[in-house]
Amino acid sequence: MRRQPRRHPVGRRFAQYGLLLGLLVVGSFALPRLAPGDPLTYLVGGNEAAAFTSEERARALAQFGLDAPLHEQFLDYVGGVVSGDLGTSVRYGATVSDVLLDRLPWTLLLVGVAGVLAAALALSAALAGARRRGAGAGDTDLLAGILLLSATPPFFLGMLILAIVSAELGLLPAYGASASGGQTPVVGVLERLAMPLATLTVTTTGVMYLIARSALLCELTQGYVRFARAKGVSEPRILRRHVLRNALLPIVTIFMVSLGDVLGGAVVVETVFSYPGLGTAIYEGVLARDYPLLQGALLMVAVVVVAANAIADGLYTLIDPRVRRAGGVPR
Amino acid sequence: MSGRDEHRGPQVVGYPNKGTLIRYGAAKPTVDARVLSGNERSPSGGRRAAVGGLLALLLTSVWLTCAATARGQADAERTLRVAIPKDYANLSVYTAGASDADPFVGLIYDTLFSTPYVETPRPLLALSAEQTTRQRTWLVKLRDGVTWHDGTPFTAKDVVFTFELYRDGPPNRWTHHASQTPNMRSVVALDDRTVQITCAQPCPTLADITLADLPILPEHVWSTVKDPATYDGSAIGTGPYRVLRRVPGERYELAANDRYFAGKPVADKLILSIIPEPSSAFLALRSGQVDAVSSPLPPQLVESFNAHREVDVVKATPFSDAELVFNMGRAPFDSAPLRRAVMLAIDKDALLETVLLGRGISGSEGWPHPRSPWTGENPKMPHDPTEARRLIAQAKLAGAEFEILVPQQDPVVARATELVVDDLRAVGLKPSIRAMDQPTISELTAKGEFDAYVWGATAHALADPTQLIQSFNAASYMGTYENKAVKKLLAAAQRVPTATEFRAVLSRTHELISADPPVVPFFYPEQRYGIRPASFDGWKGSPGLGVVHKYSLVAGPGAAATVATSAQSSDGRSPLAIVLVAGVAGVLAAWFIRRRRATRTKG
Repeated sequence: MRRQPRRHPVGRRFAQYGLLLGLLVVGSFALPRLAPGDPLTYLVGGNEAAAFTSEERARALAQFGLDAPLHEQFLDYVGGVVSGDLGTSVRYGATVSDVLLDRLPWTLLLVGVAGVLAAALALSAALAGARRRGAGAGDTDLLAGILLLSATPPFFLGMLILAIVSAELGLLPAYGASASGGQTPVVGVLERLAMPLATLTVTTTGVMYLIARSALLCELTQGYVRFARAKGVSEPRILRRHVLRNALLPIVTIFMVSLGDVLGGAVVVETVFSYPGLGTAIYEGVLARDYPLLQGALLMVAVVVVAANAIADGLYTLIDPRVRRAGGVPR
Repeated sequence: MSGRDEHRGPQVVGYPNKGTLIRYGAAKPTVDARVLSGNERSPSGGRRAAVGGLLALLLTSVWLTCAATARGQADAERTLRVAIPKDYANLSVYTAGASDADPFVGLIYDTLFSTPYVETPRPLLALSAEQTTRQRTWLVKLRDGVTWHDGTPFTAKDVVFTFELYRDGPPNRWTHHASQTPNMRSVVALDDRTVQITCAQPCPTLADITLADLPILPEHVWSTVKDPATYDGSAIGTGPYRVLRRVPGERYELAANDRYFAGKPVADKLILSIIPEPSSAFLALRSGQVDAVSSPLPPQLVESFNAHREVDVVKATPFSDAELVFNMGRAPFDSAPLRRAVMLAIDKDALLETVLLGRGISGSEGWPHPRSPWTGENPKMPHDPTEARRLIAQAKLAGAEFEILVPQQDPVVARATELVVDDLRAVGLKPSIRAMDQPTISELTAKGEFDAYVWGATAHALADPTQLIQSFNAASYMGTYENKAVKKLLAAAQRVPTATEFRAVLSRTHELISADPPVVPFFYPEQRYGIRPASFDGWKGSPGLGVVHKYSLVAGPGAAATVATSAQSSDGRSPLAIVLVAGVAGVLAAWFIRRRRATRTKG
């Protein structure tokens, strides 16, 4: 009997990611252009754009290659993505790569630290909640509190923190990201990071907490937990050494998937705190209909999220030996 | 599982809400109840907690004090911090964007004459400009001894290069003031200090408007720039401030140009901090983190800032408005009686009182801006709903349905439009509102796919008559206006040889426009700007520019206002807050150490 050739799971995974990236390139090109308008209003102003002749409009847009037919613009874009040239930003007059690389470190700092903090908070709260399931202060009150904070719009929470911490108490600067005026660089960066970080962390903890708590509670009903208790293993030890390990898979998944949400939340938070990350660049790009910048930024964000998912895929095999043996994520 | 857990005797433990479980394993040794509750203290534990708390207190205080001191040292030079609403790229004329960038671009670049929005602009880079007897030709004498920020001398070649670039190069916001209104047919340098400009038609307002509007670029920098719109090098001008550093998306650090020809810059260093969210900018002003905000205060905040001990409110006429623009190329607003009826139906005085709390000028004073030096005695645009009803009935347009597009990011304009809709319903029309973002409105208006829209026109449209003429000749905005008498007058305005005749033609145009309005102004806001006088009290409102502009930031003859150094200005951080934070940090650290110790003891 002839054996069916088995496709390598890693190769299949890479093919899937390749296809996804192809779709993302198309999406990042199409989405900004689906919105009505063009960059001319930003470039010269509403009055002036209205006063332009069609020939002047075309000449103004030609500077950025935006007067060409859509299919030509798309081919240029794809060629640029392959060669690492994402075009020139209408809004900033600089190359899109330069604009994004200026902004990316701040967003990575904010989103990365917020993601880790939110995960740590969510996990700690979930452990506490799982230990005291149904108890008022230990579980249900905690659940209500976290859900309330997570449901608060980031814009509102950010303004609240800004008004109290910065305007009323004068503790932290209300804007910017880097140190200024001879300040110690690290101090300056930390001061300016604190409020956006707190806002983003608080508003993204909720989902992670819910998933983690649910996964932990599910594991607590398993036979091995009963067995461990029967053996006299202490409850904290059961939770940390046995239950948490078995519940890690969904927790890692939600952490990686939440990165997309955290990046989305960063757009609002960065705007409130005037934090010069990718979020503010995207916001300004939308207002200016800066297609080159928007498509570059969307592609970069999408690649970060896909990369996070790829890392999560890789982590599964480390976390759960069954996945390793099955050659992929169990379905 | 470690061996320690494996052999224990029966043990009863509590399990919240799950009753009790009996564990089998080695019995734990009995411990004191105080230890289990965490209340037991050992002398060494207490000491550790106290030391930890003090250490945290000390570190926090040192950190906050260092940060505050560093800021204070930086302020030892006369530094002004101003909140601006967006990143204007490298502040150069081609990339900074629309006319809202003018005040900041003006800090770097100069024009030949000062701002075009005043009665008589004073010479800046020019010494004089004279219209020759040939009427189409101007001779401009340039100032001697002016240098660019990089030390290169400013000459007539720079002026020639600039105007030719605006006229023939990639279009920007100044292009049509070199290629159309007016059309600079030739720009010639007669010598290093004299430029001859010849227009295609008589251009009596060249010195007062055009030369006061177009910033001059250095030829030695821009002649090598292949594509001006993508130039991201340093902005080099002749202005009072030069760019020291740009932190993209965050701030510009400008240094005083000590060789500035028109006066001494009032600040050694000017930090323009980009704060896109207006509420955040006003909070920063309130707490002393910035010394001024370039955006005007919303009407509802003016009183609260007036009452603030450390903040003053400065008035300025921005030459902006909120106006309803008709699509005159299609029904129903191709009907002149309907347009007039809408103008009469809108209670502009009530709009001013309700929306702007009375701070501004009512739209009933006519259009364009009644305080512009180029607007004479505007015929009024009164409120007369009875006459409006009569006109609508006469035109058989009662119950006419139309849609008004409103920019969603402007709550003041949106609120005004809601009230306008009520006025229009009261006279038997059926308007509806559709909110959308400004680029979408621009696209729809460029395609002519709209009935009417509301927007805020800027000084360039409301106080610059050459732009007004340009607007009526354009494809959209006023381009669909078909009043032949107005068109004829505007054409005549481009042929008259003297400024006096130009004003007379404009005045007649305004009369016709009031009778057959292509737009209806709601109000002209008189805007207020928040500043901190302890840092600098020389802010001056300049028409069309607000308060943050070079005319505030350069000491004129006899000016007494100076920028305070750190000794006088607040750094925005209260000592009480520092003590508070340090205290909280100390208490938390002590609590944490105690708790950790208690947990260990339990284990």
